[in-house]
Amino acid sequence: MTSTILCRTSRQNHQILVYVIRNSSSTSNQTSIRWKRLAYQIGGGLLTTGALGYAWAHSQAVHASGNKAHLVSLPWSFQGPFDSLDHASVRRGFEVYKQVCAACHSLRFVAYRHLVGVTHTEEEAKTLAAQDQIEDGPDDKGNMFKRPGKLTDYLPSPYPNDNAAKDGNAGALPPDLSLITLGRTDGCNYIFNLLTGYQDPPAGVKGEPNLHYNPYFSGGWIAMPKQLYDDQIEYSDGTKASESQLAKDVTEFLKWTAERDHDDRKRLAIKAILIFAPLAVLSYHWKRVKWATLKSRKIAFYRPKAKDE
Amino acid sequence: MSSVTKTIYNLFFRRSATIALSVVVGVFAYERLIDKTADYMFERRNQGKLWKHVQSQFKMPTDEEEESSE
Ligand code: HEC
Repeated sequence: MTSTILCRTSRQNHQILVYVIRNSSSTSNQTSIRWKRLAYQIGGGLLTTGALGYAWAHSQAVHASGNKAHLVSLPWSFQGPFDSLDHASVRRGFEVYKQVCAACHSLRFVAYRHLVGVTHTEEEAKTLAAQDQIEDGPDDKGNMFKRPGKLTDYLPSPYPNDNAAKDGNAGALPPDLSLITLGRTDGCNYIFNLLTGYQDPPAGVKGEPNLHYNPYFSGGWIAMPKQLYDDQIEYSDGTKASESQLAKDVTEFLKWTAERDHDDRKRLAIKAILIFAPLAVLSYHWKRVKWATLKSRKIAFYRPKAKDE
Repeated sequence: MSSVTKTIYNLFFRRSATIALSVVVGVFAYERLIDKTADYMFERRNQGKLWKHVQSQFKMPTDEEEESSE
């Protein structure tokens, strides 16, 4: 057996206690360690697969006792980890919001400047803002006044406050739509299904006053009447405004309002991968270099005879 | 060390002044490279979906639209 002594520790009375020996041949002890490690790896693998399998099985639950219909999943163009929003769709969705939903729903967290370079050019966004009257003030006399909007203004709300909104909608509050796709489970699919899901209640179900039957809404009765109809508005790019097109576009727009960083985030993901992949290789190599001596040494404990005894 | 690595070592790594300079220049070049590559990949993947690709298909909102939005 070839072994080299790398270092040793000793006590005051020069008794050597520990030798660190570099050893080239493997011993039975190392073999058993190898088996142990294999057992840990197999066990860990089984545990992980089990946990993932359980999570998957759990996600396949049928939710048979829910009080709303199951959502149909749509093939959104932004689904993949590197897929951007379809900006033509976002633009059309803004047109839908502006001409339909804005009558009842606010979009408090979106400013005209956010639209620049996303759905509108700067010129267009300025024109758009100038067409709206924004409340500002107080002026020198302490009164609030209206003025044409600027790029830095946020979109005006249809109602001055929640109570006015409730009063205008038979007691139901139309929620702010800025973050609605994040605020509902499976938001995009939910909103699309909700907007296109209006239908006659099943036979024998009694109607509710001021409520409309929609199986995708929890409980089935929603205060918002059906909003979207074929050819309800005219798109500025000439796309045919079918009901499902309107619903899809406004949903994609609301996805953007909730996640304005969506595209930047995915662009950054590519950058992060490009930067961290080589760094990961380097750090793995560095680790191997640093551990090489530690992995190939052997520590033996014994007390040899003291020299001067 | 092969002759190439030796030359590189002598040129860039040997002296503190040159290594510091190579780090500064290298970081700048690397950042540019990653940035441009990532942008290129992202735009290749999303060809026809970004605003700069679809901008031309929309015309300015007309007066007509202004009326219906009120
Ligand atoms: C006539 C006014 C009105 C218009 C126009 C309108 N809504 Fe609503 N909306 C409501 C009201 C009222 C509610 C609250 C419903 C409730 O709580 O029963 C609501 C609720 C919602 C909700 C929340 C549903 C939930 O899960 O709580 C979403 C999403 C929504 N509307 C989207 C839209 C979109 C998108 C448009 C445009 C296409 C639109 N609405 C147009 C009145 C309106």
